[in-house]
Amino acid sequence: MIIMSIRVPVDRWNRPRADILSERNYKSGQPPFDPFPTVTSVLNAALCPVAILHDMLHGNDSALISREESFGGGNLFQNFIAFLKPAMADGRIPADTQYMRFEFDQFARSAPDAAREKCWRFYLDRWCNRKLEELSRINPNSNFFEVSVSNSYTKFGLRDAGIRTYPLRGRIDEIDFANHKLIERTIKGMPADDHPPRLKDYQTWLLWKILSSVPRSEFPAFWRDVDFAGFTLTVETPYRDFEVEKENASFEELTHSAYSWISDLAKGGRSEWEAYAGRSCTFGNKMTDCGLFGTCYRRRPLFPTTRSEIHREFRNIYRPLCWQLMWDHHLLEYQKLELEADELETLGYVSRGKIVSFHGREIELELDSKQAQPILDQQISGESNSYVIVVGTFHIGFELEASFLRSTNDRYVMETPQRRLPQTGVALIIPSDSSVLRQKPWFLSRNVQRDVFALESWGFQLPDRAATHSVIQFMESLFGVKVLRRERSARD
Amino acid sequence: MTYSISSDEVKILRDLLLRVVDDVQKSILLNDAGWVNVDPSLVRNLCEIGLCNSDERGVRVSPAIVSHSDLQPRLDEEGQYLFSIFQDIMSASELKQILDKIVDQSGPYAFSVGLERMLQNSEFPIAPERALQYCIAPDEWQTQVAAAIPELAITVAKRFWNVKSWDVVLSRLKTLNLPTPDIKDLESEQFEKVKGVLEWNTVIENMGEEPAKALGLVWYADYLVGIRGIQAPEGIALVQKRAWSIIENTLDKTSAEIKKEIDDMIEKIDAATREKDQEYSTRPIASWVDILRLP
Repeated sequence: MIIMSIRVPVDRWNRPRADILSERNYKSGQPPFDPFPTVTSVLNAALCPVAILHDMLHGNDSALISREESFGGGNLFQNFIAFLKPAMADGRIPADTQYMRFEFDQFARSAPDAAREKCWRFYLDRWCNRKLEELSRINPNSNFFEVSVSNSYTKFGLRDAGIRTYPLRGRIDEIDFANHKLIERTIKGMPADDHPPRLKDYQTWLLWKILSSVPRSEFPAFWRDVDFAGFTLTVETPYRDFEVEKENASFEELTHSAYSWISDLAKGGRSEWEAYAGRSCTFGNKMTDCGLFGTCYRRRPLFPTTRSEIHREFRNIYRPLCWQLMWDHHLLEYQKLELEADELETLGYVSRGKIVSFHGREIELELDSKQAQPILDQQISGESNSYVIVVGTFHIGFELEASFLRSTNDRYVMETPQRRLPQTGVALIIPSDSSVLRQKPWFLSRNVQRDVFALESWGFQLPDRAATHSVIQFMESLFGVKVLRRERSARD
Repeated sequence: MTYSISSDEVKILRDLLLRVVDDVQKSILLNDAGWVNVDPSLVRNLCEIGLCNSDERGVRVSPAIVSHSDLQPRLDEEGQYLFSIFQDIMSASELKQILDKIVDQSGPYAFSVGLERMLQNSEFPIAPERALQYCIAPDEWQTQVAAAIPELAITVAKRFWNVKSWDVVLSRLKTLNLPTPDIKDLESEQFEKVKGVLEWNTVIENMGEEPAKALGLVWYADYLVGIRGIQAPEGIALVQKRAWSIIENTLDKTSAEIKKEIDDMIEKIDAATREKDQEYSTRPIASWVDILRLP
């Protein structure tokens, strides 16, 4: 179910030079490298050029997010399964849907009643009943959830021209080592569907492509001997499982086209009109399940009347914000994969320490004074209390969002979400150390993009309301020819 | 003009608008877009009052509908949106004709205006030390450079197209009834300083005529879109597509090749104008991708 028209592949994907990676060069203007996209961005580009335009320039990557998912239904579904499977493997929850329901109500107690009820009734009940037998046989320590994968040289076949490599990163919903399966889960789809929901098969395939392109030397020690190339790919909906073909020429072609859009739009939106000219749906054939449906097919209000001028000015803001995001965030993604550990430490981006314990929501780390310095600096400056703890490698591992709780001597305790990580003593080996990565507030650029675009699209249809609204009047004056005068107060 | 149309006829008009916009979105040429086969008796009244056209291809909404703005409130919300998109498509269609006329008769003049518009759209980001070297306070830079933009643009036009002054450019465009911005031949006192900061002579030396033509025409098209107030992406895409098609034909190159030439030109200018830095080996004096760029 591929819709997009195919675009000519880029000649070469530009990655940052050594002086850029080590930050020996002045950061300014258009970055001299192409973006490091997420799987979500590639999916958006594959769905529609307008979707990737909104993703890169307007901070809105929700084209493939359904209405239910936007209210958190998808996360609740996935998070509960990530909790349920290990608990059943450990024998803490029996294979009985009534118990599961009870556990779900406890697990989702902070969710609104209606959302909780809906998630169980429409999705989890179906899924649990369907998987009951499989769940009763589940092996301890064989299923791992939310595995982060990243590779700056993910390989894709190019018709009659060998292979081409692109950077790509994403997160796998579940890796099932007992059954050698990669699972991507969604609440989309209908019981009678005979194909996976739109582009979900492609998403699973992309994630597998990353995994199977990572050099073995970059595997975490606990999975060093695993051959991911042989794993089967599965899309799981509440109603059925779909197996995804690994040899798929149309997916390869779609990928080159998607990267071509990403590269062109990253040059500053100069392909904006081409994106609109190549959009995947039209008024007569709308993709009604697209998360950007309202953005594309909702009438812009009549006021302010200067919207054309506003767009011309605001487009000059989207571009630098996109570049700022690339300097702040995409460069860091390249650095994580391409710089040596000591270079990352020198830049203050990574501290390495030993995991002493991980109980419940608290992780205790042992760091020497040099490694602890960036964390102490951040604590003293009071800038942010947010960290990402990486267990494994930057290519394959677990990224846990963490916040600092306390420290005693060389021990640092941080709070993280409760997660099952690979254990020692079984088939897998726990890493001896972890990386504590300082997280930059790169998402602020996206927030600004989103806000500016919302302001560009905002307004009133009725002249009376527009005439008395100060912001509309201000915009008419700022971008048009209206003369704005201060009103005389009653006292004057 | 007074006319009366029924609610059923309004619905037909909405469907016809949908068809034409849908066809344009599918990249069907405007002349061939929007034709449908409808029972002639249903659209007789609409054709008689000029809201629809009919021929052997069927029926379609008439371009004249855009002047009937009183009709818009009678349409449903999507119909009103379609109406505004159709208005923009029709404006874009007129602009396409203007662009065709330009290349035949007055290319260099339109390119000059386009280049001036391109520079007007830039904030001229430079390293603050550059301004100080030429005795311009960094907070004065924007004002100084804004005053010098017409001069900066005309120097490029002089080099490639032997254009003498803005007076000549604007009067020539006005003679042809082409839209013109308000640009004056002001002798900015600070022009020499601004030229020095930007090393403008080096920039011009490293500029190619073909990239300059492409930038000029695409920015002139962007200027036309702006003055017509076209908002719908469908309308903007039509104008830009025509501009690029004209450039491709004029230069006998593909748009990808032309864009590459622009990128190469910017790289060349960047390399030619870099200055030595105490800490790093060299650094750019200005962010050229923010100055010489496509809209």
